[in-house]
Amino acid sequence: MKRVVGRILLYAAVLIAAALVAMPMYWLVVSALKPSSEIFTATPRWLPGRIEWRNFVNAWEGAAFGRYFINSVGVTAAILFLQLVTSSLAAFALARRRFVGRGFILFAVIGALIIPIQVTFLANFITLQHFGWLDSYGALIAPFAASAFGTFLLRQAFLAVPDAIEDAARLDRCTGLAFLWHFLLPLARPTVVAFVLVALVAHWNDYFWPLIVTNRDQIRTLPIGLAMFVSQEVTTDWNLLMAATLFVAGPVLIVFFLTQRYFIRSHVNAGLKR
Amino acid sequence: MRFGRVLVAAAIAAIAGWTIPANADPVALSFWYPVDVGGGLTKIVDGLMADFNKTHPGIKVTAVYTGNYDVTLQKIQAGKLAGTLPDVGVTEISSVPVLASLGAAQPLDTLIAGSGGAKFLDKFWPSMLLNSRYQGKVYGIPFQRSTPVLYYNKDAFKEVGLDPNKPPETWAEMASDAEKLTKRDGGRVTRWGVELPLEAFNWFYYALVYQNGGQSLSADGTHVLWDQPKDIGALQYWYDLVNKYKVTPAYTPWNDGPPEFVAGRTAMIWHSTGSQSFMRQHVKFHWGMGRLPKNVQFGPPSGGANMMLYDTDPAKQKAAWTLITWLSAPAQAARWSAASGYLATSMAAWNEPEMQALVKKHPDVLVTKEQLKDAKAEPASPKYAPARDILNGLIKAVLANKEPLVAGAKKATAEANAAMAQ
Amino acid sequence: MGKVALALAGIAKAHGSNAVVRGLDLEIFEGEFFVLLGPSGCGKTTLLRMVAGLSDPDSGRIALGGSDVTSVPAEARNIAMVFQDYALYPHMTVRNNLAFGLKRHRVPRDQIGGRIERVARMLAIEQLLDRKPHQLSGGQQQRVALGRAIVREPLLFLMDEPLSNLDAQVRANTRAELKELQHRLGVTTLYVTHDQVEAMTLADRLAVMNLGRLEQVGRPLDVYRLPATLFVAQFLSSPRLNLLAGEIAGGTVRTPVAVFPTGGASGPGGPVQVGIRPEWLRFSPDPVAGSLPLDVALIEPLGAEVLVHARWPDGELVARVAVDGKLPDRGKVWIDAAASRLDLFDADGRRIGSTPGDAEPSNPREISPPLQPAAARGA
Ligand SMILES: Nc1ncnc2c1ncn2[C@@H]1O[C@H](COP(=O)(O)OP(=O)(O)O)[C@@H](O)[C@H]1O
Ligand SMILES: [Mg+2]
Repeated sequence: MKRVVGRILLYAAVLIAAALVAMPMYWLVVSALKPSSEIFTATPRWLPGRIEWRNFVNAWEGAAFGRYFINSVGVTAAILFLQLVTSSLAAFALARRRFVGRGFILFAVIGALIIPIQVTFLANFITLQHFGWLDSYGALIAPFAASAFGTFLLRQAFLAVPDAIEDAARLDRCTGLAFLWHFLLPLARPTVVAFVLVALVAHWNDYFWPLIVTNRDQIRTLPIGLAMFVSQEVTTDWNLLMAATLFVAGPVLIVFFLTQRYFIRSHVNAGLKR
Repeated sequence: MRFGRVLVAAAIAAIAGWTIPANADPVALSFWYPVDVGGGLTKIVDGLMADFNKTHPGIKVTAVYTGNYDVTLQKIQAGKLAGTLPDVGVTEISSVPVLASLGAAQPLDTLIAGSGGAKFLDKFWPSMLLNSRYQGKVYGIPFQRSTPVLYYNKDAFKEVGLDPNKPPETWAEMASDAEKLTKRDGGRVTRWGVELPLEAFNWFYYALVYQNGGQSLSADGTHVLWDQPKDIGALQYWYDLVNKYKVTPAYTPWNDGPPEFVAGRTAMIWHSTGSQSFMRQHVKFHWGMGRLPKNVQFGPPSGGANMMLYDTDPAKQKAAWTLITWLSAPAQAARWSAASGYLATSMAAWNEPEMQALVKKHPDVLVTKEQLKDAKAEPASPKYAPARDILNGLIKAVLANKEPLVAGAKKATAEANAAMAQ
Repeated sequence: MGKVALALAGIAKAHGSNAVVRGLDLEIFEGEFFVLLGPSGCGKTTLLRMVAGLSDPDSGRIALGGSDVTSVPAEARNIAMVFQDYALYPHMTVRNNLAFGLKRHRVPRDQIGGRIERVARMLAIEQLLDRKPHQLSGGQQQRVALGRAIVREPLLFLMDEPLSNLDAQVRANTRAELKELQHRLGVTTLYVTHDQVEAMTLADRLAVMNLGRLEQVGRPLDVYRLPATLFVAQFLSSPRLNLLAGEIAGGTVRTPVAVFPTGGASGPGGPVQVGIRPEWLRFSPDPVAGSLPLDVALIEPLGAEVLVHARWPDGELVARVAVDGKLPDRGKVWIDAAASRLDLFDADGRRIGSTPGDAEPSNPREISPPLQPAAARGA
């Protein structure tokens, strides 16, 4: 009896938590479907009285979303790829090799972790100007080719791999980068997945940097398109903003949705392994 | 012989990389703008630029959307260091001293002199030029300008027995009207009397200080005056609306204001003239606009953005100036104003067909014009940015009763003055 | 025996100021099961890692199959190692754990499957091939670790206490299987343990290691019977060596509890350290001349044998007695000096000789005091 009550309480708690998480998502979708006359009502309306598909058309036409979408996918993919390569190489060296200056480099990485972009953006901007890369894809990607966050996170994960595994792999003729590829990365998979998702969201949503370094619509990214719908002085068209938000957030939500199974599984595995 | 000379000259020109002036490519200009209003307005900017390019074959302007006011400012500051400034940029009016002192924006006096001097400037509403100068020189030309007005719910006025055609004109009237208009269900407020939304630029604080006959920044722009009696009085009035009369919430985010008004959750609201079109589109009751009330005087603050010029090369300056004067000419100013809800910057613009049509359709637009004669400058100085944030924190803390008013104002004043002295 | 498979010469290694291996020479023959026995911390793992190439010696040479591999990296030595905690690859199935080394050694793909099947059958782990290591019991993991080494068909097996994480029953079974398996495969094996029973049962030859040096190298029974040093005698005694201070004089060894006959094996006179293995100590229920009466303090039945602890005023002696032999009552016993066998060591712990006693080893030639050198000699 006690157990049944406990179960019911547990399910109730889970349901409430799920509702709290799902609520904003639901509101986002519903608002994106409402005609603007139904957006602001004295009491919230849970369902659109009339579904206004034109919101999506209007929002899509409000900015060059097609081009922005392609750019966002390309830039984010390039950043994630480069960050994974550089972070795992750096983390490999910092976690599993001894060399002069390692402590200092680690210290510098941790330092870089806590420096906000507002501090580095000028230096990066001027560097890119010297390279002649401003207003190009290079400017969107190069400053994020390395990640202190990823390096630190992966280093911690790589440290947790027992030395004996590395010795065993060595006797099996697997050393250096092969060890990184066949052992460290697979064994750190939950961390790698978490890092990729965090970096994906951060760079997919990045607004400040692309706006600072680009002037051409052809190379700009989705959040800039979204920003065009948010106003500071004058009031925002909420239904269009919500529709535009779906363009931006939608792909990431789909990625989460598709990877969530795997994401959860890798966490379960991590629990069993140790 | 002569032919030979031409050949030599041509060769030299080619080697030196000169372009032959005749049949030259048009002067390329960039125009950075932080419209901050929906996708639709970027289209209007693009349309304006297309028309300009069509009518000015020697110049080719590219419009670049640059995000909100803060990012635009940072982009220009970075551009100054990297040498990637635009030719013309639109920035929030308080950035004039910031970008002028940095040597990024260029003084316009010579160009103005070439365009008629004082006569050129006299076309603008005088109050719109209050934020244009730095150290005696003109840098900013008005472009997208706004001022706050009082929006009020006429049905609610009628409901509580107030004259729906007489919005409050003084602080005292506004407080007493708001008390009547505030509706409570038990302890819970279902309708506020009035809302004064807060944004990063602290607009309504400056409004209250001006209305109280004060200044919030010293004339030389070196220190803030928030601990002075008139400034204290202004914040005290706001504090009383929240905590004594209990007719306004301690904090309303800027963007929440108009939807709250539309939804009937507040009977009056202070907001930008730029929100008119939103109100027209969404409000389902009778409503009107009034001037912001006065205490010792009317004192609406200025807002919005000016155009500034960043070229040092005379040929480019000339082209950029052509663009600036074209955009501020009545026809374009009216077109921009009617489409965006920003204020028409020149008196003549009100006579343009677009504005005439607007006035005919919505006569209360004239309130915004009426109010312009009282408008005051927005506090600005090269190092004001940290003070702006400190003031924002002070207002929130005092209204929420987290900090005592007088002591808090003194502390914030000292803090801001120290930050500005650095 | 045959050819030398592994030769160590003058190997030394220090961890900081801690000299862990101190100038060590050793030769292991092809096909031999060689056990390195020593207490925890004596440097066994350190030595094994140097042989594997996982760490470099500070000095000395290592030769594998006649060629010097001292500067050859581990991955090129063709050695397989079974680690104490197995070091299975957690993210791979058992099959892939076995296949991985083969793939890395470029074994043709069509051979890999067959080799894995064969080894899996040999170790009875066919049912486990598709599991991950975390789904296996300790004993199963141990087999997989073994399989991973075997399937490689290396020049040399290194095993670092591979049985120490198993419970007693599994350990005993696996021990027997391991020995049988090694003989069948014929791969030279260097096996490290601190367990004397493992060493005695598994080894073709063994070496006893202490403080980074080899105390004695030889066949298990030879080392057992004729410990070259007091340390070896102590380490190979269970539960412990009875140690007495003695003096050789006129054909006898005098100790505080009894006077023992030397049985003709006379050394130079003077003080000696007397070690008596529990199984070579004989008690008599009746008084014996020259022996003090001892109080039986404790009798511990082990099954087939019994440990008898007998106390005298300055200490305690322990004897291992077969159950079918005479069990002393609780009460007084005397040392049967003539029947007990002694090992005699000089002040530095080096063996001087033994008295014959009843437990005289079968080969009399070994009784004469051939002082075994501490270093390896081969067999
Ligand atoms: N990496 C190391 N750094 C410092 N000291 C070590 C290291 N490895 C082993 N030692 C020390 O060397 C000695 C021998 O260790 P080890 O070879 O592991 O002994 P065994 O395997 O015989 O138990 C021990 O005192 C141990 O503390
Ligand atoms: Mg060890």
